[in-house]
Amino acid sequence: MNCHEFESYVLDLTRDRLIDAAIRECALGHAENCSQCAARLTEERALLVGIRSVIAEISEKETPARVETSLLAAFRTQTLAAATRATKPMPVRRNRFGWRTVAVAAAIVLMLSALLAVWLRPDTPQRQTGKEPNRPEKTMPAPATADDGNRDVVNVKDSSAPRRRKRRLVATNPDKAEFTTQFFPLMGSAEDLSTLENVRLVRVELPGSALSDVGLRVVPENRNTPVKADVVLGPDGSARAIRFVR
Amino acid sequence: MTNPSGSNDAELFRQTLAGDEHAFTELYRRHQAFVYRFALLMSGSTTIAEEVVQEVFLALIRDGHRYDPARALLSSYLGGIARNHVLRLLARERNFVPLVDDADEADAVPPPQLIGPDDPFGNCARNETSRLLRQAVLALPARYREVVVLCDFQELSNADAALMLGCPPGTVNSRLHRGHALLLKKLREMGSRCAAAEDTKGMRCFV
Repeated sequence: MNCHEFESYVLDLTRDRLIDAAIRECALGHAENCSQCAARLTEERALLVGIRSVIAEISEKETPARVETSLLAAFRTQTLAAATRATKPMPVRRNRFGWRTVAVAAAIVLMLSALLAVWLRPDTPQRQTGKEPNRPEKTMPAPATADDGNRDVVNVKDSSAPRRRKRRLVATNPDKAEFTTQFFPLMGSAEDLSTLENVRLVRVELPGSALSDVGLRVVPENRNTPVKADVVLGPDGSARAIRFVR
Repeated sequence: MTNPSGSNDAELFRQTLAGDEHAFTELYRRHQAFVYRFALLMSGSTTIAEEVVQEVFLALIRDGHRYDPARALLSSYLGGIARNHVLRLLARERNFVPLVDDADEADAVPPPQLIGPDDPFGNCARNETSRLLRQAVLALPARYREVVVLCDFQELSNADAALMLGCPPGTVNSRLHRGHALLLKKLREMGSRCAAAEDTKGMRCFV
């Protein structure tokens, strides 16, 4: 064993740790023959004595009692806080939007509701007369032209019809170039359509043979060809008149 | 650091987490001395040692759920926390009280002439030996000091010290050897200075 190897075992030798007996004998033999390693071993043994004296000195040292007292107080506080958290009801999750945002959203909803209500409200006679004071009413059955389309029908049959209905009727007849026939009364009713209230105009498709029902002449090969027609429905939903569209 | 009551520690720890004050008290009384002595030897200050003990067990109270009994003994866990607090407090104290280094040691108050250059502890009184040795330990760099404190003064095995310090056992072993070499060197220097101060260089010191 050389000095370098002895150095790696010197701590185990002085502390009586588990070490192979052969190595131990070899290291001690080296220390007997090497003065430097012998001095090293002596120093380590002296150091061990000093360490043991320090251990004996501090073995009685412990943390003051006041630390335990303060720690127990902290433990009780922590335990109490944990118990409080456990018994406290689950907090209501706060709305991530502030109350101002909610208020603005509510105001917008209210405004939209008001606008919708105004939009759906039936036109009052004052408004109608106010908007179109001098508009002449047309009588039924009047020959329709390509210019007036179904708008004439609406004005004729019900001046107090809701605006929504007007829009629907206009939407059903977007083509300004279509031609219409006059209104033919149905079900044998000869009543004046202009006197009816709350009538509706519905665009339908009928077989060409329907033209013959109102007295129009139909070519035999066109009897099954679909033709467009506007049907006037009375307040009770029954068809009162019809006109054909091309 | 092999703790024969390790399983009891785990049970006490579980009860502590459940809010059992007696279990916490028992845990504290089992481990406070180890933490206190480690901090005292590392810092040389009873004030710091008390503060470290307080911080360690407060951490156990507040963040005890972070400890996994399957991974390490409770004493290793507490020792690791204590080590971190000690190093932090020593760094803080360094801002106010500079540590004595080699350059300053010549101006430091020489220890009593108790040590001969050839036999540091042969004829020293027990208390003075202890005081000198603790002074020398405090002069060690922290990475060697903690290993010397754990393996020599706290009598942990290299493996347990490695577990607590979070480094391989081989590192602990090499640091221990290096720490001993530094420790003996400082003790020799102390002995030389005290001998020179009394103009008794080369002679043994006597109480």
